[in-house]
Amino acid sequence: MEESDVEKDVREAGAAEKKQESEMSFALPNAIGDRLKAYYDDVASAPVPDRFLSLLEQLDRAEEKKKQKSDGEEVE
Amino acid sequence: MTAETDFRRELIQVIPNLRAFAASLAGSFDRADDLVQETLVKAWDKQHTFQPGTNLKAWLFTILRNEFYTQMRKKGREVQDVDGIHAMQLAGHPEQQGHLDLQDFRKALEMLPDDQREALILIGASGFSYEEAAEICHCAVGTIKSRVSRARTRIGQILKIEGDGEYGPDSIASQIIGVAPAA
Repeated sequence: MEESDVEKDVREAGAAEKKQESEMSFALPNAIGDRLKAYYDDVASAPVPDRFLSLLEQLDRAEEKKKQKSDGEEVE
Repeated sequence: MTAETDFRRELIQVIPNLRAFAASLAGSFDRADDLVQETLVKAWDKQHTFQPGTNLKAWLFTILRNEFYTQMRKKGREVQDVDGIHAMQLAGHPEQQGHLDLQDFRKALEMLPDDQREALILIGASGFSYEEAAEICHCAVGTIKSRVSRARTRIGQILKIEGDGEYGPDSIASQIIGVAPAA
């Protein structure tokens, strides 16, 4: 069933209003908001340090070993 | 096995955000990365408690924040302050010569109370909704809203942004009034 133009207008107006509301929640004055973003991205845009990548790799491997071991025990 | 690898990949994707949030909490890059490391280990240990399909980023932020405040309680406030001063000195490294503006902003941010600073970061930089931020900080949505408002006002005062002419005090005040309805 197709919606009428009026229904569509109402729906779109509602959506626009919602969108505006959600944008409002981030509506820091730009002078502050832009600086805040720059401050944050200064760290967030840096590549992920190797120490974290190797940490996760170790954790993954340890988990894997543990699993294989327990699987093996079940078989025996 | 595949699930674990996915979990690892998803963790890696959130790390840049975790580092930025941790740096804003801890005030020093070294402490921030220690905090991230502990968060990753904790998250790994309790990955079975994470519900797939829910917000992993918010889940990790919650772990990191809890870890930070647990450490703070253990170590006491003085340690944090010393680190904060250290961070201000660090902020002057040469690659950032072009970012004098950023240094001022960093200092202004340091002057905010912890609860206001984290609310401002979560909403204005990390991209969380008020609802998500409230969950991360274990408080009401209205509390987050008022913390963000107060943080914004204070930063504006410190940086004298309201004196730029770009944003008069009235326009800032009216935005705050406009943005902070009861939750």
